[in-house]
Amino acid sequence: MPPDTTNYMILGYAVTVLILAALILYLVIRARNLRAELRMLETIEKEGQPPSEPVARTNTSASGDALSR
Amino acid sequence: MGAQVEFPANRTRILQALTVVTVLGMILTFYLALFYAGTDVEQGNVQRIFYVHVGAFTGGATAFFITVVAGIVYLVTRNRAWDHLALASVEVGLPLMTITLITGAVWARPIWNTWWTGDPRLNSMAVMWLLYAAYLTLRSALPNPDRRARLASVYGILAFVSVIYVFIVIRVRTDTLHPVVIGPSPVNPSAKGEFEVRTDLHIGLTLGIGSIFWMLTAITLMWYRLRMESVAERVETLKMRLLSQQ
Repeated sequence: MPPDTTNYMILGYAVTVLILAALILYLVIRARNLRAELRMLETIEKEGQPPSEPVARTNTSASGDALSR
Repeated sequence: MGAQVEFPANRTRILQALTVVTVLGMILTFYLALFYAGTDVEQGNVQRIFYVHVGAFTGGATAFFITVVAGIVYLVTRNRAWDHLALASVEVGLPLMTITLITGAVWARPIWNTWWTGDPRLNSMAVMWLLYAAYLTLRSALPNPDRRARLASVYGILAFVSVIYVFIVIRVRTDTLHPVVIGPSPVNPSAKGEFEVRTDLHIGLTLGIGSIFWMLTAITLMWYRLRMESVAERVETLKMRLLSQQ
């Protein structure tokens, strides 16, 4: 009869999933922030002044999604 | 035209396909490890950590090997894209090695009766982790992009010595508790723990398939991280241009 070490197995797998999820989340959030920053800078460059409204809303249709290409 | 960082459509399709294969492969990997591989008679279910412990190391070592290749190519060509790849590979490899470190400690607790001990394998693994964490710190401390890329390339190449040492330490040191799972241990014949990798089809298959998909996970994540760096570079270029206009 093997010893009951299931709790440690669950802990090990939970840590694994958490670290992978954190890494993916970090990549997604950072990519999103960079895209927003890029859109804002392009708007500033085009118009010669910073936008008064949130940039993501004003420029979404034109910019497309750089990272999803 | 808005955001001007565009990626070739065919490469995007390859990345999307790779992502699907990787996700499905990781689901299969976890399924095999949890339900297909048998339960170890001596250790119980905690032995199933073996598959993520070794798998994550395989993925991390793959990423760090890519750091070496990217570093060498950068030093030869001075093409910044290779420096970006080196950065991406360390940023992905380090979390994977973190998984190896933590799952090792969790596994050690019921088997060695301690979370951590001054074992040569454990200590060398911790030193390796710190060396790659220092790589990221080094980069952030160097503002000049060319100098940063040059030094980081050299550092990334030299740091790989620690990965090789982690791999061989249990094969050359006799004072280690850590089992030799792959290959013989001529110096330490008493080091057991192969879990019948070479003779048990279930264990061998689970480890083999798992290792392949952990490697694919590292490559897929690196690819996304690399694309992010292209956007970051575009942002930096735009910022500099706008500042120079003022």
